[in-house]
Amino acid sequence: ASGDAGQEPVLQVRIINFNFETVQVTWSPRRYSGTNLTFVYKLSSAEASRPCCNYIVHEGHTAGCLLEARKDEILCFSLGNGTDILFRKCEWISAYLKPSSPEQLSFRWHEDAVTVTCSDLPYKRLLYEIQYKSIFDTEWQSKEGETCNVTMQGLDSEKCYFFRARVKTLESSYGSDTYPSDWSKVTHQQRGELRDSCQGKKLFPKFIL
Amino acid sequence: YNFTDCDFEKIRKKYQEVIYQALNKYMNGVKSTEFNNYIYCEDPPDCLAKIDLITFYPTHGCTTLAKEIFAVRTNATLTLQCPGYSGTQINNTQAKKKRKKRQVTTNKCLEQVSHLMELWRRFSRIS
Repeated sequence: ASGDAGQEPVLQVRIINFNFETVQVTWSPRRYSGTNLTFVYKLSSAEASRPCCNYIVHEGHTAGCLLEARKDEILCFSLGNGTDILFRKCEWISAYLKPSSPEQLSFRWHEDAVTVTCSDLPYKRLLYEIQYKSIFDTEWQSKEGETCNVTMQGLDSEKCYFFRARVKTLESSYGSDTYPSDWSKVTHQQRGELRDSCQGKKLFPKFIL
Repeated sequence: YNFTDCDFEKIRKKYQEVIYQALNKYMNGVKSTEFNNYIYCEDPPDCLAKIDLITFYPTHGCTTLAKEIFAVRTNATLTLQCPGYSGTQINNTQAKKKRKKRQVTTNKCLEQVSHLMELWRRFSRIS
């Protein structure tokens, strides 16, 4: 996010909305380094503005603020040096959403296909991306779904596969400034069962050329 | 007009299929977050009422949105999915003629359309 449209921003401000739980606003003062800037904010559901009560401090100076924001609403905030307001902005916090990573992936194998499911996040218009590869593949393959229930075909259940998942937002619903979630931890599957890893003995594919 | 009885799911799908690209095309790379003001809508009917107002009612400095492609599609969608909504009488040929004779997009219109994008995004998140 930056200051008024078109002018060189006094401050470089970055907003991350961690899964509608915590919003982190960080700033790096171009011309005001070494100054303790104060952050005052108001959420659209709140009665009044309030000063930050959870600053992030870097090299002895305020560099960010962590605030609780539990729903899809507008955050208005300002940054000042005690005498002047240096930066002012209002934004939907959903515009900077970073969903949490999917957890507890579960697998249902049926012949050469597997359906991967996990619990959907409590808000809408997301894309659940599943990536998979076997020990013979160098690149991940990707499949997406609007719910966490994604089926991938053409797999060889004899092979050992790596799976991972993440969540992205739909640009038409959240804009282009959001962040994909971190990848889930990698899960290994072979013959429809969970494996600790895929290193084990190299299994030759069914069809040897 | 009270937008409470509209079919929000169908409107949301139409927005994602055809209206969103037209809005994006109009903005031509200008990001809606570049405008340092915002617009709020509470629930789907409130969002549609504000979308209708900004799209079809000229304001000072921006009088031409109703003829844009996104407006024609918005008008068609609301007329189809909102019982009793009469909408504005703009047909496709007028919109096409407008596209040939491209006027300069004023900054005020870009600001208005950036508001529209925020309202449509909010509408799609909650419906």
